[in-house]
Amino acid sequence: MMGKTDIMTKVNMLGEHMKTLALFATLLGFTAASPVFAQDAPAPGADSASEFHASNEFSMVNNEITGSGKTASSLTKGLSYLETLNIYGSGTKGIWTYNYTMGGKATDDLRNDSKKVSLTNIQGRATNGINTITLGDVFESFSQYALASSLKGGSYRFMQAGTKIPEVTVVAGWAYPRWDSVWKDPATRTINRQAGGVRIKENISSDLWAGVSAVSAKDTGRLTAADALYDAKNYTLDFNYIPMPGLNAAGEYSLSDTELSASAGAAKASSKGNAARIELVGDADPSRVSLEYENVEPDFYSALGSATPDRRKVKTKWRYKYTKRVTITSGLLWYRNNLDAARTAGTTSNWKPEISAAIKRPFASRPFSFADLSYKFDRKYGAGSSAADHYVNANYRDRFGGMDSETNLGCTLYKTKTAVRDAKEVNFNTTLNSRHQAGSVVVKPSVNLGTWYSKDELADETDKLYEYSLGLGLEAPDANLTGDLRLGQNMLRKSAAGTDDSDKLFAALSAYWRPKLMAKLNESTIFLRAGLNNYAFSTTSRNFREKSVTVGLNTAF
Amino acid sequence: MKKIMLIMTVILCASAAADAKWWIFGKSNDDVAIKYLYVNKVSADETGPKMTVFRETLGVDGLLKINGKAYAGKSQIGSVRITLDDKATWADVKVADNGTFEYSFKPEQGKTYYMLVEVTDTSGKVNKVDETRKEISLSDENIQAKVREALNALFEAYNSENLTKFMSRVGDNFAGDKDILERAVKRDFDAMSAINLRYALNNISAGAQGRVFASVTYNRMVLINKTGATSTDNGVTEFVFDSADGKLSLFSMKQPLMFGLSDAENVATGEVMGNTVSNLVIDDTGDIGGGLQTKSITCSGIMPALHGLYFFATEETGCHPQDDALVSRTSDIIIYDTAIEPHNGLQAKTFAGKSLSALTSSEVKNVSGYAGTNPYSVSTGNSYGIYINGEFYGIEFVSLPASSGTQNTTFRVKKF
Repeated sequence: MMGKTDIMTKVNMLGEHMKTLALFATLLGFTAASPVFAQDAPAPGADSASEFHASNEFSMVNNEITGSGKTASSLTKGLSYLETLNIYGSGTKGIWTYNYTMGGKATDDLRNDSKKVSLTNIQGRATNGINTITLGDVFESFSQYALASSLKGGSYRFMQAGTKIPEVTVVAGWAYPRWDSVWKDPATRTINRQAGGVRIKENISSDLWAGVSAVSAKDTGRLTAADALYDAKNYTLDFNYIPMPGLNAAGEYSLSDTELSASAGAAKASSKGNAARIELVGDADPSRVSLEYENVEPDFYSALGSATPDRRKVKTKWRYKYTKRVTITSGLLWYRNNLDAARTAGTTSNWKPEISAAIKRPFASRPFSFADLSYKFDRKYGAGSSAADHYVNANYRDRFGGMDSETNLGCTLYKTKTAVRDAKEVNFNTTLNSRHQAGSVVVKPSVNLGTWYSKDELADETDKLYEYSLGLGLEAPDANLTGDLRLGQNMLRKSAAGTDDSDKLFAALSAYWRPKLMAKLNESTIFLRAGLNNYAFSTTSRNFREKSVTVGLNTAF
Repeated sequence: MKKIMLIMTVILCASAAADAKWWIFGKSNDDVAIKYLYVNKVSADETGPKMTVFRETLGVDGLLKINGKAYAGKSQIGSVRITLDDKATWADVKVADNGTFEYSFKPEQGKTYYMLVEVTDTSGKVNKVDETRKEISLSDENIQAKVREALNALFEAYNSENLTKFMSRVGDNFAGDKDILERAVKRDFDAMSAINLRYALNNISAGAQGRVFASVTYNRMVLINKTGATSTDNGVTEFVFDSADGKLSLFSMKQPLMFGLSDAENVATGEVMGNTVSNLVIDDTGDIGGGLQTKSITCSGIMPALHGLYFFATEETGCHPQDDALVSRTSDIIIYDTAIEPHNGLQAKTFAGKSLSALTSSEVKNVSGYAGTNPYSVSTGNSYGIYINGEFYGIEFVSLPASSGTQNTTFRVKKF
């Protein structure tokens, strides 16, 4: 329990943080207010149809962590707050229409953020139908390999619909993960990565478009001697083609040219590589078929895109409605790494076939019955490893009287020839839910039972996990109240000497109330969340207990 | 391989008895139909019957665009009409010679639009209009609320180890491959229990193409089933979402990974810039391969010369002098009641009053301040950087051995 003095100290600290917060909110308010004034006194020729919306959530949480093992907790002890604010506005000025968003966060819990006050998002966009300018958070996703990251900066797009003139997009900015990094806050400072790119996209015909992109990322300002600085360029061609109804072909090819600066312990290096992917999707009843091929060379590097390096992959999938009640899905995934055999660790290849069947009403007399059966196989070999894992799963859903049930039974067989993991695992889970109405009040009790059993054949050890939980949901629409209470326990029992058994007892309560007196604020909710986790281990010095209570107010208009 | 061939053969044989033609790959060109249809830049084939759109993903002018291409086989297209009120009223849409058409409207908050598209050829033949039906509504939530809803759904499904619910929030075009992620998450669930993941948003950015970027600060505590140990860590990571079907679906993740730790190499596409934490992974044995671990050593017997041993690279623990095999190799540290005795060139430095989970990679890897003092004084309440054989670790003592009697030590350790 926190002492009275601790709480007073916290409250005083909170007061100081609230001053910062108020300043922050005021700044945002001024920014947000400008378009509203414009709406009141529209400029000549301006359209007065402007919008402004805001949402705000403020919550306070008090966590108590007790017990000798409390350092294992992921909660921060004591009282803390979290404030998030978001605004959106739009309007018209002459031939230009614009919108803007801005959001901020304030907290004194370092586990929520290393910064007490931070800008979470800011963006302004304006267009005249042909030219579009975006400033702030800019997310122009060119293609998967070229640009699939957000930038802090600006972009310009030219697009004249109905003409053969290509669409041109230019973007420039910093590839920082957050705004605090832009102003080089010590707590969130990163290497400076300046990025820029241009994309030209042309609708060659009504069924085919193609785009070319050039993207550059250059790092400066290393923080430590070990930081490697990239100077990376990517040149990418991507396309989409619809040769016939229901069939879509899409793909891209990207070249990378990368220089990596010398850093502590590493010499300067340069590399060139390429990546390609193509996907065909045929979708028309009764089948949906997809074929994918991807090849990402080991030396390919995408500073701003998304690519899993050094992988060649082939994948097929076929979903087929066998009858109106039965859908069968089958697939085969193959991939391997170490394409140029340069890794000393060696090459691994993977085969992953699978088949599943989803059956509506497997028992004709049971209208709500549904069964899903699946088998998956993982084969991995190479680099001194050899594994063959089997996954079998059966799921059944049904309704008995007023009770919905879902039961899942899975069996996994991990088998390696390299004595890494030979284990049989079985998991079983069943859930029962029902719904009872008394007047306008709805009560939703639920029960969940689960178990997991693992037999490690290499170590000849057995682990067992049992879990249960009871839930009670409440909906009282007349009182604008919803709530949920959940109680349960997880018990891990281990046979290996020197390892701990453990019990986790948990309780969680959440309640949301929309008071009518705040109707002018449209969507305002007062919420309460409380939780208790009690961890007990065989080694009692690891035991600890977490108590957490959160109250908050969410408003929007 | 034979098994796969056998399975495929069974599937093909079974297909012969099916209700419909399984070999159809795409649609017939002879019907009057719509070749493709996009609603707010999302393919109608990829969405369900209901679509929720967000202001941030509309055009700057607030218009929602419906575009597509009609075809009429050997015939010619006569007209294209769109209704937004479930066939009560229709609007004629200008259609190009090649069948492409485009229609825009400004959706209003709180209103649901029932959209259908009708294509008629010059002979009066009409497409299957009902197949084009979509319920479209403009969300009253902002994109930040929607990102939180998507992240909450993913985190809650992962915390409760519900694979089906988790995968329902992953997009088909997940960059690291959806099937690889699914198997990795399944293995995560076999390897861990009592999962407790939380997050707070740092930055979001919505793109005109419907993609949304999110940077979050995460806190994680998990129990590793294989060892019974707990792992706690926190850091910053990034997600990219796609908008489809009125909800956000996961498109890509970076290291440090939140989900799919059992195949991190194939699931993650890149690493967060400025990442300072040790990335948590689950290795092939189902044990933890990174992050923060809790180790307990119990050495019973008679003092003196009875102390806990620890090897950082192999994570082995033991007692001196009982474990002869370990002692003969000389452990990295021997743990006393108020100090550690370093070996093998180990150097340490103190982070006074700081917990291990609050240490950053950059401060641990800063070689300034490390010393090979022997013995090196330690106490609970502090954490310590360890530098040995070019590798960096952090260690924090939960309890140190008493000066006499049974020697129990519990400490948390993490590789940086």
